[in-house]
Amino acid sequence: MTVALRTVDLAVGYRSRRASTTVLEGLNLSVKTGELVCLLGPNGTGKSTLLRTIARIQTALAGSVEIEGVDAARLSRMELARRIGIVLTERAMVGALSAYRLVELGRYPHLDWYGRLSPKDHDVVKRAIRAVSAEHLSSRDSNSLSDGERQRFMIARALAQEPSILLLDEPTAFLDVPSRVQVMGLLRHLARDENLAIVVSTHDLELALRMADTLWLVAPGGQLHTGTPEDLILDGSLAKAFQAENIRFQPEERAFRLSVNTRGRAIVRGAGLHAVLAAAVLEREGYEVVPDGACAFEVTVALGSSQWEVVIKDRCHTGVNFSSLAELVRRESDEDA
Amino acid sequence: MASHHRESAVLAALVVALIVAFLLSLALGSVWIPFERVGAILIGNGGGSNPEYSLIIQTVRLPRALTALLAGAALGIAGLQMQTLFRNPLADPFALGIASGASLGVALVVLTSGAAAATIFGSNLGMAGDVWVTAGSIAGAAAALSVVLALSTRVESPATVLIVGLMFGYAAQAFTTVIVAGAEPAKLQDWVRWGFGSFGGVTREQLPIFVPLILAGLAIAAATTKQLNALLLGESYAGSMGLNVRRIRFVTMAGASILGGVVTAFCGPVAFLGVAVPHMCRGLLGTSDHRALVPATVLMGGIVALLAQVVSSSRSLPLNAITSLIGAPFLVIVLMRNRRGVFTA
Repeated sequence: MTVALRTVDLAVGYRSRRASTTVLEGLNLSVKTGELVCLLGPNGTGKSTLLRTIARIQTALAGSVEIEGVDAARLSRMELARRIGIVLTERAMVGALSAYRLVELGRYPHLDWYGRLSPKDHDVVKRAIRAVSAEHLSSRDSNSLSDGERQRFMIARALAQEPSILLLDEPTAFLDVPSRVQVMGLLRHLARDENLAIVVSTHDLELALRMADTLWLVAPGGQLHTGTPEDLILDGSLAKAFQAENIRFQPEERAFRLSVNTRGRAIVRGAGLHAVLAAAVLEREGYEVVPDGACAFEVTVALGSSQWEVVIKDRCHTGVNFSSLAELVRRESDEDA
Repeated sequence: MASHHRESAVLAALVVALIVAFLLSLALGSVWIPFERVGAILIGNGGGSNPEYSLIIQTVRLPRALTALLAGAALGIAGLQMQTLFRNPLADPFALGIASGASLGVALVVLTSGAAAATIFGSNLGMAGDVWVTAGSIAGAAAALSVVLALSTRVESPATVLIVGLMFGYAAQAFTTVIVAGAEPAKLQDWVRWGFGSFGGVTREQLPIFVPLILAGLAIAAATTKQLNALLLGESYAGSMGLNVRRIRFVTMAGASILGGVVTAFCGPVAFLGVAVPHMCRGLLGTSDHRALVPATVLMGGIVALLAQVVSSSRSLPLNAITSLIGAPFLVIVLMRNRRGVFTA
């Protein structure tokens, strides 16, 4: 594995005629070939600015970007386009263009003056479409594709540039849940199998934690933490980066939780998925689920079914689905209040 | 691939239609000249029994048909360039105020010729009037063009350039209105006639100016086909694929403005073709790919302009009325048949 991308004391931000606003500075980052990096951070912390600066759509305020050991500023536009492919947040819609032709556009930095494609160019286009598993859609009009399908073709278009680095700015923003998982899975596979260096910004924390080799975590103060997801969970920087009122990071679940447990504690006895789901019902109703001790409820879930039993004030209640459990818990809470 | 076959078929059909329209335009007019005569005269065989035919074709109809063909192609291409550059289906060659600038120039020449132009040029409009109208139009279009181009190198957003162009157009129109309001009624007629548009005003002597300018403009479009394709996804993506966005924006605007400005100068403000022809071609081809769209637009622009010219000269109707009357229904049919939408959703 070699270093595909490196930033040296990079500072990014906006430059207007009078003044420049620095968003992130002192960045010394690197991405190896085959590595998937997820760029995480709250809105407005400069994730897009960083990606756009690496792609040279924006100019760096200080420092430099090195691509395969070469200062990016020394590369021509075309040379750069043959090394970096990008998928932007903006939804680029074109009418009357087949998905195949959309991918063809990515050959731009490799073509002759009239834009003719050689057989080799067509091979690259087909391989790019195959890499995103969308061969069956390639004759469709790009406007008739679903958001998830179009995003695959936008990624294929970037691949058709034959880059060694792929940058994606919130590629899953418009997508439904299955498409999000598929797109992230696709990136995971492209990094490994096509040996690409990939940096993807996302708000999808749980997916990022599961898929990324490395996280670049932008904290609100403008510091950027890097490391494997697990290291950043352990040292608390992940929890700190997304600190906000009423939420807390649950390291074991690798997810954020609302922390409004005001109604008291509850115990769930039982095992398996049904016990986990019963706990979820109680948490939603505002109870903290604890393993032991004094508490308001004790819910017993029969093994492997949603049949439950709750003892409250010496009275035993039973039910066979979770909606009746939720109803009971709500009723009891209202009586208490 | 199927789409390639469709594109080749459409282009071939357009070539045939263009040849037919061109011959029709030579044959039809105040007198009907049979097609075999038209053919004979074109290949240099003379008018045969009727030498007048040869004269009519060579001095009137051939220059007029060539003008119509090139003007139609020019307006279509300029419209296509503007629509792609601004990613706006309503953009036309005159979106940047070119036509308004030209109108102002012509208004200055035609309506104030007794005073201003005569003092400047020391000439009375008479026989040489057409030349002055052309000169005024070119000057006005060039002024508008230079303002917009100067601005485009300093402004980041293409939308801003478009809005400034529109505002410049309104300002020029306002001046024109002031001039029209104060003009002598007799001169207004000339002004109104210029506004009708005509492909018949370009003489054989003027063709050596008109033709090379239009061909140069068309050549710019042909040479930037690949760049226009890259712009389909917007300027950020185009830049990320290696395109020098500012340069191509300048070149495209300059090319489109030359095409629009030259046509306006020689033929008057010909409406509709610029915005409609690219849509007709997208509809027929089923693609926004400029490699097919650029040649198709040249052919289709020529066809529509020639047909409009035929109808307008045989019925003595204003050209501008005809371009819209025959063009609009056709465009609507094409758009209705193509339910999936031929432009950016």
